[in-house]
Amino acid sequence: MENKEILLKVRNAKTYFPIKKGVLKRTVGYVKAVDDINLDVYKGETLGLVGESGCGKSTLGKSILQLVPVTEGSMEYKFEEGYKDLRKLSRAELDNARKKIQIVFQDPYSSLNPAFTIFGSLEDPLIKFGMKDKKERIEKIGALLEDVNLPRDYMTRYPNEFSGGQRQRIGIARALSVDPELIICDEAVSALDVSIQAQVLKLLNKLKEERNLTYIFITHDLSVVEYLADRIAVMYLGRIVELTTSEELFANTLHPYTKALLSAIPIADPTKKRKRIPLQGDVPSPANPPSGCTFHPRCPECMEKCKSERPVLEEYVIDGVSHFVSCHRVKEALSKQG
Amino acid sequence: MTEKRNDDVVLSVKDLHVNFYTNQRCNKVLRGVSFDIRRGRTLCVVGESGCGKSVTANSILRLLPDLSRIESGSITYYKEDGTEVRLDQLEKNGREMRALRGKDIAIIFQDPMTALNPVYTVGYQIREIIKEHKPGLSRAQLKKESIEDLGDMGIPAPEIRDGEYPHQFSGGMRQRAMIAMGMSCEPKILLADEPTTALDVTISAQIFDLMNNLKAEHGTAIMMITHNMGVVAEMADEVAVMYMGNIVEYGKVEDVFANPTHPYTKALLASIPVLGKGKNQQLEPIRGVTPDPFNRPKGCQFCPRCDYASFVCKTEMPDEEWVTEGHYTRCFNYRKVMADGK
Amino acid sequence: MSTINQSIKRTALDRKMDRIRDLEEAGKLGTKMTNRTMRKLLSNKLAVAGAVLFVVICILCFGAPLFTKYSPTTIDLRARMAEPGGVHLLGADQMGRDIWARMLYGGRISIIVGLGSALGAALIGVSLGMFVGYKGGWLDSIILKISDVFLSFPQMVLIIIIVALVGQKLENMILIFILTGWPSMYRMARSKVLSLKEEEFVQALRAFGISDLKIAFKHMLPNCVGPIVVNITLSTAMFILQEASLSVLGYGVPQEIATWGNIINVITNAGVIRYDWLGYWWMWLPCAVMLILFVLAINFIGDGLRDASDPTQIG
Repeated sequence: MENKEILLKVRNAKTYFPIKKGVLKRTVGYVKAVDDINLDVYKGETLGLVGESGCGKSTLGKSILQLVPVTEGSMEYKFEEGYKDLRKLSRAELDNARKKIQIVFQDPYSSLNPAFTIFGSLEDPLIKFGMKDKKERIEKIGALLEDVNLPRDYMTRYPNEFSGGQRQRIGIARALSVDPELIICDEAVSALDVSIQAQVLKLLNKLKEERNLTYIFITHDLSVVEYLADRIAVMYLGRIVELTTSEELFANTLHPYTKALLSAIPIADPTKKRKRIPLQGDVPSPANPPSGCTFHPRCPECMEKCKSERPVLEEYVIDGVSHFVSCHRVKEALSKQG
Repeated sequence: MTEKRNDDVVLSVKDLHVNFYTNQRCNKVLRGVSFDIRRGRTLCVVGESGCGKSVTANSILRLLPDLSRIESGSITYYKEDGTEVRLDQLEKNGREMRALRGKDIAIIFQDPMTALNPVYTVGYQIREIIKEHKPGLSRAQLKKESIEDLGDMGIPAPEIRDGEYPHQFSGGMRQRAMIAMGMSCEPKILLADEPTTALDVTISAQIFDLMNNLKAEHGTAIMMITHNMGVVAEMADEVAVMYMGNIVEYGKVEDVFANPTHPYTKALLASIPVLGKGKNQQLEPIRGVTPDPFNRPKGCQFCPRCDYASFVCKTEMPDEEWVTEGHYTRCFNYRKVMADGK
Repeated sequence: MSTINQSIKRTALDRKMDRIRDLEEAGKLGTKMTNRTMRKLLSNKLAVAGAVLFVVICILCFGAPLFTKYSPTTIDLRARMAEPGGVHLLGADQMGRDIWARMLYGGRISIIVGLGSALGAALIGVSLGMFVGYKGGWLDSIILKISDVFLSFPQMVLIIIIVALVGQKLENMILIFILTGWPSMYRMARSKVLSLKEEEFVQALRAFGISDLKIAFKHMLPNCVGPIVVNITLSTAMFILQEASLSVLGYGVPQEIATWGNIINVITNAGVIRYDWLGYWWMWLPCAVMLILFVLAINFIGDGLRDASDPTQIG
């Protein structure tokens, strides 16, 4: 992976939401939605971002797009003229960045404006980015709809005439309208029926091939991400606990949380009965995370050290594959092996 | 369906038709659905949104909306003392129906966030149900029962949790409280309508374990509605695959997964990514879209999207055909589907 | 198959369902082109009756010269307190002015005051609500506080105080109503915007860097039209009533201009009539009836619109 070009470098990114209380709206604490994330996104890859609800995966996606205010850290994106921190862009530069990074949302029912036709919903970004001629816009939107396997004339229809899968494809067409390089898919197939999911997944793969796209695919569904992703980052309470290639993650799972997560996923094959690793209790509140390793209260392999000392995400190269993991026990085991 | 009634059958649905009359239109949501629910077994009903799986559960408890009606067919509940109750003939909100709800047949819903009343404590809401079905318990006894119920559901510190309000519970906790409410009167049948769809996988796994324990310890009959094939494989003894208001395939879960005999089941299984099969697995999306319920195909509902459709499929809906013992399909060409292998 | 379980008693609803089912089976029900809101509105008999009444009264008032040959201001001392019938259809008042003519011409002013104030209040309240509500921040909390202050005053008292300050003029009336009417519009628009703001299509527009002004007014406003229209109709009725009550109290539109309120005002200050207002019924009763009918009509339309645009109501 080293020889690959890095498109986005996220360094020590923190997104905290203040908790305000009382008449004076004093800040009494912070929800640490994204807490110290380091991440490289390579050009042309699909990076899966996996975790349970509240782990901060969606917030990380929105932070990259600067849709939520980022508290700390840097997010350097590779522009033609070199790396620039997305947080420190001027207005014009930010507009330019928004042409390069786009997002596809989860809920196909709220992602299109019910009062507008598809053309009406899709034309504003084009106008903004300089396509003043209406004929040109009609042509462009028609081509986009064809790209996502929908007939051209759908652009005159309203969202309520479409099914969930069709709407989601229109959402993808909208993201593509500015010819981005990086698309953040925020739970893009989670709300769809299973038979429709496959259509959208295949479409995403096709578009990636055709347009040389890079995806950050945010989901809670590991079976979807296994199908789609080159590398997978597993998040827990605002942090990345494990990050490696898709094959390596499934073949050589290291972090206890990832192990438990994998064992909890029901597999559509009744002949495979696996041993589940039971997790105790719920995900703690990100406003008040546990000391030390944030996973320790639920971890079946917890040690004394885990309760007090916070493990760092460290890279291990196992059989030539880079494998990041943040766990004291794994570190111990791996260092014994040498 | 089953010629001689098995003693294990606690609820039997036969040729159920349900129509919805919203918007001055008539939508035939259920078009002849038949199945049995057995003691100590889990029946999973699987299908896409709008296929009628939730309507089936709601018809059993007669919780259908006002503008809908059971047109024909029967829902029979076999009580432990041997009497039979025709649920479809009871008054919708009558005394008898209300007495059965919760005590004999309980339901848990998909959304644990809205299914609990936010102004009462969780313990109070559980006690309300116990009071309704076991009159004459003292306050202290009631309290003891509700705390026990919560504890049984694996909720830590149930004495404290009993006095807390729903907003103090997390999603998984609320769903467990819902199940505690559902199980408080030890019902014979538990209907679970997508109980874990709104929950995270690690929490769902806990809920599934809980339901399996109930089945093992109390012999509860479970009917679980889901759209997730993984959940079916994990939980079900029997599975019923629904499409556009019909059960198109029914059988033991191993049989159905190993030998799908209906083209829809087969296509569905081929369209989902399976964990552990890696990046190169082939996904085959089902072509076309689910038909508009007001503009249905004339014959077999799956015909326009089916790879095996023949002439007769366009005009007629096939009847149930028994493939093997306890495994039926509603397809004219099921032999061809089976011969095709997986 | 089509036999219903006989043991359950059949209701009117069952018969209605049978009818729909038979039509559906005969293939006679297609997807209707008229939209659902329109259909629900048309099937609401009160709303339709209200609309008819509204149109009739508007035609009468704005086409007044076609329906009466008298002017509302011509004083004819020979006709003082003339009883209904005769040349004056509804009689004449204490100065011999034709009541029917005054009612029609007065209706113009009342309707213009009511509708104009409602539109003005909506313009200010909705624009503020949409934009400031969407932007949020300190400006939003300040305007929210201001609207709180307005809403916590008894409205009638507030109006009378302002009238005392700026004087009794027709334009002032409208301005005062706008001033006291915008806060409720603002709150309505704001609450709608706060829920729309979380919709993903708004997020998507933000991800393209579309300007806030455009998001608020081009993309979010069309989604609020339903409640805004309902609110405008209902406040039109309210303002017409307020104008009438103020005029009856003597604080409204200047006395010499005929409005519905000013006509009814005779019962409070016109000498003889004050002591025998039942005997001189024609001077105020027809006008009061017209006022009540018109306000009822608007309220029926407003209620009908609200029910029709509410997806949770069956129909």
